Amino acid sequence: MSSFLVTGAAGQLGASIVRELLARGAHVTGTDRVPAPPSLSSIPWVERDLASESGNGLAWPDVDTVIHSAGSKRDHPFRAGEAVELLYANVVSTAAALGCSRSVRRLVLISSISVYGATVGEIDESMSGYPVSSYGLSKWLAELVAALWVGADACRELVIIRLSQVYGPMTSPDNAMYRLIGQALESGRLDLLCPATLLRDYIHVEDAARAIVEGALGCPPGTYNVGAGRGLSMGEIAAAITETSGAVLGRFAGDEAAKDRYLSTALFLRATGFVPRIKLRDGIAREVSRLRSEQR
Amino acid sequence: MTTYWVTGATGLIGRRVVDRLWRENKDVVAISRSARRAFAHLGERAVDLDLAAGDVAALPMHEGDIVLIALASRITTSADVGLLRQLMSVDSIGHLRLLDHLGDAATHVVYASSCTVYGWPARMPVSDDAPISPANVYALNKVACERFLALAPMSVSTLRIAQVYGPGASPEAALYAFLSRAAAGEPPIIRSDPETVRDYVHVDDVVNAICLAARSRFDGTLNIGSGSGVSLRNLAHLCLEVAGLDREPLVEGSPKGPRQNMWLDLARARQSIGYQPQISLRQGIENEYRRLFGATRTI
Repeated sequence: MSSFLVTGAAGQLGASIVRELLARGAHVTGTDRVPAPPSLSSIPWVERDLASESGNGLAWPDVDTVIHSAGSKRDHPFRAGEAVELLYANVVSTAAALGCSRSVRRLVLISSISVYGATVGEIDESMSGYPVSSYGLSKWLAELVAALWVGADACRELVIIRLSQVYGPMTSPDNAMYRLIGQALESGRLDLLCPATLLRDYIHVEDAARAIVEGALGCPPGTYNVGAGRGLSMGEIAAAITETSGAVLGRFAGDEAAKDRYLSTALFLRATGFVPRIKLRDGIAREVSRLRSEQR
Repeated sequence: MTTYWVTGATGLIGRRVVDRLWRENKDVVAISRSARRAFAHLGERAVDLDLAAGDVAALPMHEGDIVLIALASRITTSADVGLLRQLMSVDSIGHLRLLDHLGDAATHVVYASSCTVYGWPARMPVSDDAPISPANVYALNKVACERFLALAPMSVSTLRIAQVYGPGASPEAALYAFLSRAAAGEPPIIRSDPETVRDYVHVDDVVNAICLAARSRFDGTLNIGSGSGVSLRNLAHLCLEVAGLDREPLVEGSPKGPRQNMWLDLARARQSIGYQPQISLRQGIENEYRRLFGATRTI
């Protein structure tokens, strides 16, 4: 089996990817700007900030597949200073990750639904247009870096995985789903500022990690959407939160202008047979019980 | 009162932009790694600063608003992504750092982008709305800065500039290689497909476009070129004519894959800022020949 380098390996997604690879018997090196978390103390680890160091000339291991999951998830309205941080963390870091090892043949780049910009409805991989947020733009530029890298040598392979919203342990409390869970746990009641029919897309971090490992192992080079596989209605998300937290479901009101946004995942299903295993209700139940025990 | 900050002030285009603004009695701040030596007459308005590493907080602040004319860049045709950090640190990241420092004071930006953001489109001339497809790290850096500036609150004139020539241009460009050969009495050597079409724009026309964009505060993307495409074969013939040499160019290149043409459609720049290239390629080449090799001859 190939040898893998996982960047951002101490992060929410990176650590799950490492665990999934180890479970399949792969040889994995982790890298992050922080030391290895205790759960990953058994694997080779390079502590380095890809965003601020070129990484050239350092003792990186020879690997043939890089899974680039390092990056900043900051997603705020444009500020020039934050644009600078995103360019380093998400764009320059992609070039640096590729410079880590001369032997890299396959890059699996973790991208995001936000590259589709203002596109709404069910979104497939062919849809184009410019991203409308600083974060989306930085991920889109990272894809262009990867495309240049793969274009320079016919032996190289590129798999781009555009993830919908990832949830699970370590998700930012600013995430919309986590704000709702927080509200339910704190007040015992859940009111939403959107219609119950509004469709969004969430994937549990363990499913996302499994999809990415499929992308690293066998799938043909290309760009793939990975998400729930269907639109998840806010009504369904709210019901899962109230049922598992015991909160009362209040009312849905407000932003009628909000548009459905979810990924078509037919292409990745055809390429790998991947379907998420963790049902929304089960995933939310886990998070509700984890957050409740953290509250205590 | 508006102050014009020019980065890349000692470059091919920047030097002339600073001179032009100064002659027009504008308040101009010239920024580059060696601005003080080049613009001693500007006093404290000439600032030595490496955008990639320097301390932008040390820049002079003043009353009034600022129009940033962002020209600083490093040039490469390499596809090696390892060069990206270096390129971005000056241009896209460097200029965004500068804007972060300027805050609300910056009310307009003129950004010198490049026709290379289009890659190699099949259809000529290339319209301002053609899809972008950067084929090297230089173009990728330009795309990054263009798109982030498009999210910024101030108006931004993004100028996608064709191949620039004129005093100070790189002698490695085909035009100068052809001219040198012709001046030495030797036929120019065309090392790629001779029917490849290129768009050579004189630096003075580019300077004009930049000043028009700064004055009009046009918000959007504009192609800036010469208005016409010329094949490498015709370019070589022009150089031979100007040198008074009755020879045919030597062709060592041949068509390989799709032709890598570039020729910009100027419709939007003509309409929106009144841009009109003034210097024909023939005239521009004659000027360059005279500057580099003395008097032109005619057949």
